[in-house]
Amino acid sequence: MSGREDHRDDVLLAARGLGRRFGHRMALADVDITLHRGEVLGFLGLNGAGKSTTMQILAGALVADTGTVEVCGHDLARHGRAARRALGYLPQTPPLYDDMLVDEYLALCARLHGVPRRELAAAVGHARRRCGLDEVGARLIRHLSRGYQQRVGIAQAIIHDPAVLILDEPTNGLDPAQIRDVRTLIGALATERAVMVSTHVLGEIRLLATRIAILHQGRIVHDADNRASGGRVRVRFAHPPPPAALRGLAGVHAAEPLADGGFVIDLDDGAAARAAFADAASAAGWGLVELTSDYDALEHLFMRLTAGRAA
Amino acid sequence: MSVAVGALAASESKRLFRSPLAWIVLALGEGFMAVFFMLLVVRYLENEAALRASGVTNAVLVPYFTAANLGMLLVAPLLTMNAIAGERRDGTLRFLYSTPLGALDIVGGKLGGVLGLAGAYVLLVVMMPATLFWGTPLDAGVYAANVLGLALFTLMHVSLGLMCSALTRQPVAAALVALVVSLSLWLLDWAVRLDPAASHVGAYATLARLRGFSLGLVNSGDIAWFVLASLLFLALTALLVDADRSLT
Repeated sequence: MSGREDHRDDVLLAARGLGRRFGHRMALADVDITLHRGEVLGFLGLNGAGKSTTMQILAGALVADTGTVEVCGHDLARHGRAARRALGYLPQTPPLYDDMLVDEYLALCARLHGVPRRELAAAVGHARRRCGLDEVGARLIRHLSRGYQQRVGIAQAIIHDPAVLILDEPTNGLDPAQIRDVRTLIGALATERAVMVSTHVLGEIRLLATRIAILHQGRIVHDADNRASGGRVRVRFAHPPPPAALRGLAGVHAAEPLADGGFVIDLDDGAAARAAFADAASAAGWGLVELTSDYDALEHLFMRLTAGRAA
Repeated sequence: MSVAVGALAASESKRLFRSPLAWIVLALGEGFMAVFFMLLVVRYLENEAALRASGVTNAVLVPYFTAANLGMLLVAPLLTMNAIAGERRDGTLRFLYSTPLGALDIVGGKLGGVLGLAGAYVLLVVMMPATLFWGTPLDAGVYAANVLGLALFTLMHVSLGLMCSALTRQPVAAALVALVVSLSLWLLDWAVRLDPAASHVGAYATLARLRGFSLGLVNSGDIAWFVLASLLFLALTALLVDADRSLT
């Protein structure tokens, strides 16, 4: 599904044909997901689309009715321990024991994931530092704010240095500064790992993900490189031409006029296509004054793929 | 995995010791046993002439341990009710599923954790009558048999409590089910008294299985019965936990 043939050897997680029913309701059907080293997969979908179910299955917390999951070459069904040892999972609600101290809880998570006793203090310290928890290590989890509890949840997911991270809405409940910190953290973690992140905030995914998958009604309806939407640009001219003239240019697939006098244009992807478009606009004497990526492209894509088919 | 199971058990035990419910249960249980012990000793002292023939062992020790077993029957559901049902309700059970722990590991960790607290309760309970050794000749064999009986009874009821906790996400419901099952097993002995033809049912009565221990007779059949019943409950708990991964 990923189309990244060049990274085939670096596949850290491969799920094939995942299906899951809850009673008579089909929650997931034929879901294929591949995660490569160094990749951040943004996982999008409406509420009830099946995102959390998929992530639970990938994390080994829920058994799929059909399909297979391999983590670092270990089949999750047959070699569950080895596969789960390579996984870090943050559920939608952080799995916290609120009557424990932060350090105590992180040490427990490390032990459960097989971190040796001699490496325990270092692992806890490292995870605490990365998640900005140094000041609250000796505090009871129930006394922490929602944002700090979320950070503790992320810390437990990375405490054993897993190769694959599955984070279900990791920025839930965080303030803008904390969201930025988590984004930076995920970016740093992804250099040597594969990360799968779900969120409802499309802007966040656009900045964070290298690849985007959209799940709708239990099926993957989009799975492509994040740059795939980069061919959509916003332009503004000193002397705006009619839309038909724009559509006639080479490399232009569509042109929609905007209320503010500009246009949204679907171009071929890549810098060369943009340069060619700028040259053509200049040659036509339209006075190109602005050409930017359309940051609403992802939202546009998401709405189009899920429109009228609410889950 | 034994290290992870040990870590889970230690954490579970520590968390139980932190919960007010556990301390209330322990305090009330110990308080009840202390009052009962005092009443037995006072009764013996006031009726020494009549009770001397049966001795302190039979007049104090045996009824004391019968009450201790009955107390454990009430305490065990309260100590185990949160172990799995509470985790399921709070969503942390799913987190445990995502760790390398298997269903048996999770059940082992939970069992170890609850036994930590139940063991402390049993230790205090068995220490109380041991004070009689300083003032009167007591049959050490009967005492040891009763301690063994209480330990096995505790193991079985903690295992039963865990199984009931794995059935639901409501801890109170888990405690009630465990209480009903354990009371039923206790009262099966009465069925035999009411109708001798029901002796095959009486074989499953915990009270009947404890009778030998209370008299100082350690029967391997009774030991095996408690151990096998505990293993059965623990195996069913593991199956329920494992099924939870598939069903929920």
